[in-house]
Amino acid sequence: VDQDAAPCADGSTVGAATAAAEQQGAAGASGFAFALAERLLDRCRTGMVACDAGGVVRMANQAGMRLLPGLEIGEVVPQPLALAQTDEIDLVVAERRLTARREAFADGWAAWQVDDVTEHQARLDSLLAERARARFLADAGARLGLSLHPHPTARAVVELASGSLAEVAVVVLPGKGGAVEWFRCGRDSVAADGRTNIHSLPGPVAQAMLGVVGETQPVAAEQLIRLAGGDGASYGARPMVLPLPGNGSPAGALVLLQGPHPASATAGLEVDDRLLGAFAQRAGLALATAGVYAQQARTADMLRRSLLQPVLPSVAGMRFGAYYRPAEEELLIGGDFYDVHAGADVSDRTTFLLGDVCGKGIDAAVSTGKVRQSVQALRRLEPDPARLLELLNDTMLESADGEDELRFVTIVLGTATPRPDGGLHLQVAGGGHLPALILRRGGRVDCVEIGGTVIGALPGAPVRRRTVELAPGESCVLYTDGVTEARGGPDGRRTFGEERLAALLAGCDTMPAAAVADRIGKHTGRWLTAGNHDDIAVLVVQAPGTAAPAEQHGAAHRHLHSVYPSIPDEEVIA
Amino acid sequence: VTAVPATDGGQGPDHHDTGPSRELPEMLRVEPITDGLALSGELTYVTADQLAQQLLDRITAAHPSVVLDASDLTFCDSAGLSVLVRAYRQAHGHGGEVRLRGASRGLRRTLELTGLHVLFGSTQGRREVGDGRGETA
Repeated sequence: VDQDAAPCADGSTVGAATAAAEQQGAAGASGFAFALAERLLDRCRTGMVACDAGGVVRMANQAGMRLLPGLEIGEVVPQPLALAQTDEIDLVVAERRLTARREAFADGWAAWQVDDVTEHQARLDSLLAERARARFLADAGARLGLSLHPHPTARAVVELASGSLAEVAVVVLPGKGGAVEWFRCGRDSVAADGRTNIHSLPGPVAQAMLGVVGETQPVAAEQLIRLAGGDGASYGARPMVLPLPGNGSPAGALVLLQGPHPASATAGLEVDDRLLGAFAQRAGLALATAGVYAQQARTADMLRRSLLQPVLPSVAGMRFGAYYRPAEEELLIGGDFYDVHAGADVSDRTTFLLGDVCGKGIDAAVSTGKVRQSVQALRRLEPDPARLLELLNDTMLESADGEDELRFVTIVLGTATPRPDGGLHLQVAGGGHLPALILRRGGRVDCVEIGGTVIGALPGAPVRRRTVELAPGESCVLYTDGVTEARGGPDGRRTFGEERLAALLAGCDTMPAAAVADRIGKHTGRWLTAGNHDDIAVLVVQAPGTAAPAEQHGAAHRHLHSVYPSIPDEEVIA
Repeated sequence: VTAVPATDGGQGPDHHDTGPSRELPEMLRVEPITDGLALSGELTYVTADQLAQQLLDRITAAHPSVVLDASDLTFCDSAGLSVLVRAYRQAHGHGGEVRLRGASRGLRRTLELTGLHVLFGSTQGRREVGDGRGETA
């Protein structure tokens, strides 16, 4: 069997032998060889045609006769071969794809080998088509995965589709209560989008939106003119509507319109139902995922915003300033918190608090929300800050989620009442928090340890109470350990410390409350070496009224008076 | 203290501390000793869970008390305190106690500020070494 092919392997030699044999009149002993060569040639799958110098066919095997209908011995070779400019040509004869190779001989004769490459070419074409399809779908997958929001995803869908699948592509996304959003892109036109109602959509599109899954449905072009935003005349046949399958419910519908030249812009990409189906599936999945993500992001953002630090109220007779920098800065929330609740009227006390829930990030932030809400409710029932902290302690212990979730808080909570002279009367209760700093007139800084025990860890934990009197212009500064434990400085490891903080505030007695808070924030930020830091919060309570010009401003620039908690439970500091 | 030091804080051209020493502070070593655990390094939000597991597993009805040797503990934040309080509550529930040995000045100060020092029968015997916490008034 193999011998069938063997002579063809070097067909030109055989062909030349045949021509030579014929020239010699096929006489004598060579007659046997000639007959053998002819039989071998006839079994060969490659068509063999020999022409003389005049282009007249002198010999052809059976394959040659079959592949080139109209070939006659003694006639001029058929046109495509006769007119060939090169020694190798591709031709289509009777729906078969052929390649023909010419071998020229010195005497002007020529031999053609003709092969039927229809199947080979078909396999090659389908391989290229498959490759183009795979590339397109991979590109689509990569691009569709880029965004986690439905709008950019829908834009990516129409851009991809109008680039490769159609002249114009429109995606329609379902909204609430029959509202729909559409996104359109044409191969040569600018992308557009808008909103409409599901009832104004062409029937098949509305059906696809409702999840009526049909085949890819041809739609009358004029129905889609408005949606496609062009004059319908410019679009060719077969507008299509594809449902985009979502996660349970449909993610939307894709409308494709072909232009007058329906060929794909992407080389080798054959647009068929299989490709459209695969694209629709990917687009639907991406849109559904983006939809779910966007909804979760919206929910998370709403919850997060409920935990943001409050806008400080403006309260007659007192000023507030605050600074906040969470450890996880992109979240804008953390375990530190402050709050100010204005009194009902001028004579009423105003409640202020600053604290630090142990831990960081979301978990801690959620706890700050609970603490702040508890305080807001409890302050209406309990005017005394120390009693309020005791109630808060009980509340937190009761609502603790379990042994694994020990979230205590260090807190300073106070009430401020304006004095007739413009100063402030503060009652401050301590729940194991850092000392407060008091900016006195003249630039002196007092350190007031309030004491007490952390809130939310132990039943019946002792709470301490202090009274602080602020003269007009004086401030009480509360801060969290994010300030004092901030690491940096010359060696990058030194903590900012209470002493440095006090020194920073010395002489700042004429600054407004907001500027004092800002100063601490700025300097802590500068002190911090790159890297992790804890949540940072500062709250400044200030008695308004310009502080009297400091008599000994220069001399009193750096006094730090510390009052340590060895003193009785209640004490007035003025 | 002669100047407000924050003005040069961390911005100096010659700070050479962004190297490996910045990575080390997050480390905590917990080693068993006869009657409890010895801690060295930093007890923080990052390392607290590591200690919680070992410490809480150790406090049982049969062995309700534990000693924590904090001689080499250089830093403890609120998450660290939270572990100590959980240990206290667990020990207390079994009628035992958590004793803290060799707490640094910084840790003692933190415990006093938070009012938690009363929970841990501190045993003395801290060798006072600089703990790098920058209390350089």
